[in-house]
Amino acid sequence: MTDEISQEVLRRSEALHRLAEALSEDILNTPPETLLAEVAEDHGNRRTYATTFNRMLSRTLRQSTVQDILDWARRSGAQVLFNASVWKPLVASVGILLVGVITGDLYLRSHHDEPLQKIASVPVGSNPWMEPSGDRGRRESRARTAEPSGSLLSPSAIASRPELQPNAPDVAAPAGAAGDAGPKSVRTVTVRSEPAQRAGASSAAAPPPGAAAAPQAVAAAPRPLAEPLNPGPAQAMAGLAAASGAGNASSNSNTLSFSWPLRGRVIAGFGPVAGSLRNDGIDVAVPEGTDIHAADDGLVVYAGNDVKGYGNLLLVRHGNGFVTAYAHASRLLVTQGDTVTRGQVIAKSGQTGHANEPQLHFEIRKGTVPVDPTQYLSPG
Amino acid sequence: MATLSQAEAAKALKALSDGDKTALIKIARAYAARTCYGHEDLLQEAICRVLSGARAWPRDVPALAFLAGVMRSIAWEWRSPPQGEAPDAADPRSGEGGAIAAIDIGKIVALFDDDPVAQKIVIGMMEGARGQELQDLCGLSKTEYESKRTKIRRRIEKLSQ
Repeated sequence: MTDEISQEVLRRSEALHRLAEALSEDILNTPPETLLAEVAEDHGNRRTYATTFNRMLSRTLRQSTVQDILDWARRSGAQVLFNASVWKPLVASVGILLVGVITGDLYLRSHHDEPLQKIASVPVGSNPWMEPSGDRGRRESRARTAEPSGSLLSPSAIASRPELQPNAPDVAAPAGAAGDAGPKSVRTVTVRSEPAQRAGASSAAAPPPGAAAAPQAVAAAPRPLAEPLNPGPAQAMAGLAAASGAGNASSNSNTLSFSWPLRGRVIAGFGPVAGSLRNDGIDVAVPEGTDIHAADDGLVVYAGNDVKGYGNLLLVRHGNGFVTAYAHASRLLVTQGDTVTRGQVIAKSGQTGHANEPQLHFEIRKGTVPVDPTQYLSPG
Repeated sequence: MATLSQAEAAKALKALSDGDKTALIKIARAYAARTCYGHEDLLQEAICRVLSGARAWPRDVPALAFLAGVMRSIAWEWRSPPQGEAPDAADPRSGEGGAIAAIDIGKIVALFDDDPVAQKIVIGMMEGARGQELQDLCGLSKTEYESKRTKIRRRIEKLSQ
């Protein structure tokens, strides 16, 4: 029964549709003027249907335009999302990589500077100097960290220090030593843990001009180094012990006095210099080949030229935790592990490394802290 | 088959004459009477499909014939059950169109009780007969047939108004 009703409904629906088709054909075949007249007859205005059509068409076009815009926006949005899905991971990867690189660099920098604080506990490294002299930028950066050895002085501060004055007298007048030129080199000296083995001449005992002037008594039992300074630790320690035992002629903590390693014109004093740099020692201009004397009894803990900018370099460990450095030498006359005595010629001056003229860069460090050599050098 | 672009279709629609627009409204009313929707809904849907590209408009087909065909197709999709099969009250399509759809075949046929020839033609149209066939069936000349056909259309139009 239900099927019969459905069939009947369908049949009647189709019949109505066919009737509409027939009416539509009749409308299509009817002249427009006739249709307009019919409208006028039915509604009093022949343009009633045309007006209705215009209104409806305008509405439809607006909707179509809006829909087109929405479709375009949707497509654009999808494209943007697609592009974002493609590029985001790439950008994120690059970002993560950059963060990793920067973080790693900061980590390495922070751990790189750390040993500078502990001259006696430097881990094994490849460079005898933690901060190569040629690396001005790093030096500047370190100076800005305001670590003990990194405080800076302005040029006016330099001017206030007699020993840093350009026209200061020769080294024979330690507190007033100066040169006629501004600072030529700036260095930070740190003993590395594994100095390179360098060939060099053995020591030749020849007291420097000022060495005999004020020999100082060395403490009877010099304080041993807390840790070996160099790689070859046993050898270094043995040498240092020997140096401490044999070189007890010069210093204790109260009366410590180093002799001038050579005589010449101080061209750069200790401390800050222009350009946010600092000099951890003094620079003494001398003719090439001038004898460089050991400032005091001690142990040669490094002899070599592995540090860029310093040229041929000697590091001598003394009692009470002092270390003296002699840079830019033309020749090194001692080797690592040698014990030296006060006034012994240990090197010949030169212009190796970053030096504009033959000179000696001389430093004294108390532990990790560079000190003004002129405060420890005996007069005369 | 070359077809009009959407922009061309929109331009063609705007260029229709008042007579064409009137004809399209009348055709829409004829088809919408068989659906649950109004004639404006039907015509708007047809135009939307044309403008959206859902219905390709062959270049060689006149606007009136093309749009009439589109509306016929849509009306068939939207066809509503004739009277006796009342549309669902919850169906949003129920409304103006629903009342129009309530026109029953019997009521249409009864419209022409006073004109057996016209009634015969209406029944023939519902059966799918057209033109010459109906003319021959009723023994009318071409002019007489066209006159009867216009009479039928006008009565049905007035019925749905």
